[in-house]
Amino acid sequence: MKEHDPVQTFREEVRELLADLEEALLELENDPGNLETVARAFRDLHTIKGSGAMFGFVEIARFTHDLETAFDRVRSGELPLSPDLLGLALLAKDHIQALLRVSQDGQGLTETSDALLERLSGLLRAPPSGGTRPGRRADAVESGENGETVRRDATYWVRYRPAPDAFLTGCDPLSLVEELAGLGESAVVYHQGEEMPLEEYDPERPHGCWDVILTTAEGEEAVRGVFLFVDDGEAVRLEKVGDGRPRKGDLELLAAIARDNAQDEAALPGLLRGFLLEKLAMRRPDKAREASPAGGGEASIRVDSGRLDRLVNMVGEMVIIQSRLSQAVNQALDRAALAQIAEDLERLTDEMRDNALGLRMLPIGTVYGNLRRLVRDVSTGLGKNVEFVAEGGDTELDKTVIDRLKDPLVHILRNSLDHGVEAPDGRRDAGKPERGTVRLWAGHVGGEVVIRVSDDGRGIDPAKVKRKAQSVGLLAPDAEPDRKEILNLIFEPGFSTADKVSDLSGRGVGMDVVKRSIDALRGTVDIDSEPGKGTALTIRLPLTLAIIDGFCVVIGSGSYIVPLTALRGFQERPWEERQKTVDIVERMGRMLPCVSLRGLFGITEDRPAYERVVVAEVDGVEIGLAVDKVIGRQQAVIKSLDEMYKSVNFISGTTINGDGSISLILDIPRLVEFAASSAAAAG
Amino acid sequence: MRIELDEDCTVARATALKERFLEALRRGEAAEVSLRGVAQADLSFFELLHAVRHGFERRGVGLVLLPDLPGHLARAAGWTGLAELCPGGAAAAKEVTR
Amino acid sequence: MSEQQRVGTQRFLTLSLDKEHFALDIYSVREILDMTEITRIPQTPEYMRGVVNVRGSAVPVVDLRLKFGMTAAERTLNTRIVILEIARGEKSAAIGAIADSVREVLEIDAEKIDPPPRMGTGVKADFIRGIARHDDRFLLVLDVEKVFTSDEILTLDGLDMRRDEQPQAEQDGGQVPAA
Repeated sequence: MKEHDPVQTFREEVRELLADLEEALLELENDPGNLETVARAFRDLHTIKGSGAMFGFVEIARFTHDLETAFDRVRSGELPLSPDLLGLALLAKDHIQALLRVSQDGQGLTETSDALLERLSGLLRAPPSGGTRPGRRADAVESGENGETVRRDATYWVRYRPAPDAFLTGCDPLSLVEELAGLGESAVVYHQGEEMPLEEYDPERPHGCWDVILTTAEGEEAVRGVFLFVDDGEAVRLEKVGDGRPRKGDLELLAAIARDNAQDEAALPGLLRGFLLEKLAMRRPDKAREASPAGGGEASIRVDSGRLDRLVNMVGEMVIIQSRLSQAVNQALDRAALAQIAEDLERLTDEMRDNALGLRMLPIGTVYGNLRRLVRDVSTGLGKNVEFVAEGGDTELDKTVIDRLKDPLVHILRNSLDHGVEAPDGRRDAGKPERGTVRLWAGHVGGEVVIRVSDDGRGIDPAKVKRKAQSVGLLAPDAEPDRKEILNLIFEPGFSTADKVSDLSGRGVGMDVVKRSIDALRGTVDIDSEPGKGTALTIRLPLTLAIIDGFCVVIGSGSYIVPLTALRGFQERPWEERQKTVDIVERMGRMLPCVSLRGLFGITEDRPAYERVVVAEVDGVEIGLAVDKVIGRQQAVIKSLDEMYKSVNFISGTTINGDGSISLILDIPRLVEFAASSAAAAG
Repeated sequence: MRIELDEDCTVARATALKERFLEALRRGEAAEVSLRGVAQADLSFFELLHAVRHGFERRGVGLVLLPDLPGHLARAAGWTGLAELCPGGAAAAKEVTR
Repeated sequence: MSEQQRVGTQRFLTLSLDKEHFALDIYSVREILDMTEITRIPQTPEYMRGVVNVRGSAVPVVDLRLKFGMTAAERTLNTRIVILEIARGEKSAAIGAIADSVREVLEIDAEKIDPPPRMGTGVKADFIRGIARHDDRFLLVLDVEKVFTSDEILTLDGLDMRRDEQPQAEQDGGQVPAA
């Protein structure tokens, strides 16, 4: 094992630095004035040179030195960042990569080094002021951003149960709730007291209690202050459940959680906190990017993936044990002690889960650099002028998924450049800007990862595809498929639309390979195109997380999990005779298609008078899912369905509950698709 | 029978109000309660309404709480899960549907 | 593929379904569970009863009576789920089979196993590897791989079975082959 080979470590480190350097250089091509990026390129070079010398890679140190100097001068404004310099820097980067593979003194490659250095010194001499090398060091450009903002939003959960003598002290609990709600955004849930015959009811003491979910910047002290004169240590429980400002709809969802778990006071703050964490984590990526523009903040680690897998499995089991324990709490006698254990374990589980899953997750942006280079080189080779826009690089995916996505992405991009984007004069004739755009977008949509590659090229002509498919026998001569079906023929084995075979991607293998790779990841790929306008390829992948946060719902005697990422809210509808499987519900003035899961799944057990409608959203499309009951938030360890169930449509997996029973995880994207198309068919 | 509530419905009158409802309940006669005249109300009032509602339900006696609570009490009603007692209905209070 | 080359004695687990007795190669049997709660997967044929929790895994369970076109049976104290290990490509998968009862483990001389009769067993001939006599009874030796192949199930795409429909509806080949 190469556990502690420092040279190996150095090589890996330099490879990472080079990848970052390349990314920075390509960014500079689009935005040469960005000093932060210049500084980043400089830092990369500086580190490569320094550690190269340390580990005896003398040739790398020698070669990098001059380049570092050049970037130092660009940084201090002495040297303009010309396209020539950038082009040379990219070549230099490739050269350093080559030097890494040979002996430490750069055997066989020193001449190339010299040739490149020669060109570099030519560039350095060219500008008017020959200039001396300024002696500034890298760390002079650190941007400090610790200006603590004045006040920070946080979300609190307050359980207020007015003391029995509350009225006697002359205080109206309602006015306290009013005051509390006045501190910020709030959602108030009132829980009625115990039911009793009216004769026995004592109207002069309070009966119910409240859960107030409050987002405020006033701080915990201010929140506590509201109850200054009434809190005997029993009446009020206050816990911070999240930092930052959740969206308006979140408070509503939190309130729903509080309502559905009113009895479980001990678990409630944990549930709320988990929910918020999840929500905020989903939105954090945009912010994380702003916070570290240099992109090199955290050190990365290399971990044996077998060990990781074991850890993830362990966490999976731990989650099960934890929920079993939580259940035991409800039956055991010494509740306080057990509850404490459950609470601790829950915290630990949450932490472990986040850590363990985080280990396997990488931002998809780690491959963007390579792809950007590819687009640059290929389009130059084809004489095409292409801008490559890569967005959503911080979308995290399982490492193995990223590894297996690389090839299909390369293939798709090559196709776009080769067959999609036209040559500059062709574009001019078509009345388009000479510079074409290829856009790569990644993001989380409704519990799935979506990756979209689109271009503004010539698009795909369905008529041509159809003719071609008929000529190679993929389509019967009299078949009349619709546009979408025709386009998807491109994924059939042995299909290629290029008139001439290019050396890049027109060899007749192509999209079928892409489709197969995506299938293997349990994903889907879909194409849409408009002749003359462009083509978009959309890949959807399941989050291969072993654990998801979900909401448990019940229909008949079965329980089902709705992934939290797709959940938008709840409402109710009365049961009506002759209810259709897909019907309409109103939500905030809009009409949504609503799927009766009972109808869809053919469940015939007794139904409640009122159905709960879970509102779920994927890609901006909202639907309702009618169920019997909403139970609450639940972590689900995903167990995929056996191959036998491959053709099952609306279930994406199963999960084992704490009591050993099994819940089914609903495939929300498929349900949305089904509901939307049924609703469309119904007019 | 119709019960018209008025003036201050706070804890000071809570017991008296309860007696009034109890009497109606004992007669077993369906009741309709108007809240239009209520000037002030505190938690004891809204909780009493809950208790009255359960009490009538339990005996199977009809009870209608008219949605005519004055607007200045809408928030208080919403905070005790009784948003429907205001003319504006549920929309008046930013409560999630029950 | 033929399994005829096997020699010597083999061990089998025998089980009963309706009035028939069946034998399963003991090497494919992983464990035998008491009947437990089965979670049904919606929109699947009736004979695919659902999944059970076997030490943290969701294992599919097939109702052999329904699969073989027999009438459904009420659960009894003797009802068992036999968990089998099925080769699937390079991997193996666990699948449960519901039996009316599990009887015994037998040794049968490979030479005493005759090729399956073409008719009269009430079970699709493909599923039977052979037939053997034991204690004056006929034992149908099941071809586990064929019974639980996922192929047949995979072709059920779009099949929209509801609970209230006749389970036999999709058992096209499950009846006695026509003479």
